[in-house]
Amino acid sequence: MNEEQTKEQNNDIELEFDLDDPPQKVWRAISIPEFREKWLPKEMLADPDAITTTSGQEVRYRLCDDSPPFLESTVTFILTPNKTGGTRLRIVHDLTDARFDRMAGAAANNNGPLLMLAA
Amino acid sequence: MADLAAKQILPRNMLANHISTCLCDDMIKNDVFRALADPTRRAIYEKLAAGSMNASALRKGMEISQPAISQHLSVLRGAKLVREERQGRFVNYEVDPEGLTLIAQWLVKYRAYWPTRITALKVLLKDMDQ
Repeated sequence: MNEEQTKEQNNDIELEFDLDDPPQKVWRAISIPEFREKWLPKEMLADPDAITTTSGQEVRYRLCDDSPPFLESTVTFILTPNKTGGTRLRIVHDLTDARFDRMAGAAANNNGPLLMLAA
Repeated sequence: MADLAAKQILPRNMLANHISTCLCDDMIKNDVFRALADPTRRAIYEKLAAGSMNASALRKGMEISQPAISQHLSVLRGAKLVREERQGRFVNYEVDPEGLTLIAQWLVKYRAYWPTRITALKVLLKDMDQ
């Protein structure tokens, strides 16, 4: 039912949720625009077309913040069946903004001071 | 409504137009997450994002005791999200402009965002045919 675990790796957010409904149904809710827009506002998507799709299993979209500094990111929804006949939905949200890469890319892998530009 | 709340978690005026250096290690990030995981502290933080105020002004409209709000403010200060500013006899609290880095803001925003979207997804799934 609820959030199973969360972790952050560098500039990623990874969240996992268990849903009661089977993967085929969750897949429709995530991949069909008319359904998707009911739970994920279309303003969030920089591009309504997915970057990559593995039918029934995985879909990735490009996102853009709805407010300054309008950072760009990608989100991947990964569906797997869980033990109770429902769906384990994994959300991997990566900050991919080019401005961030340029400013912080070199330093992002260590714990040292990081220079960042607020656009 | 949930959507609106998620959008308002982080104030726009914090995205100052300047270059700032910051220590962005996991410890600070964890402090920030812990501090903002509590709905009351988030509410306090959002109130302060609109402008500095003292503890009694902060309490207005919130069902919270003075010691409790002091405790919350102390956690927010510990995470460097909020800072104290003394003006004579009075203490004002304000959002610490150096507190949240761009990346930490992004992480905090979307960690709060996705659970609200999953709630909306569950509502949709209930309405959908099998």
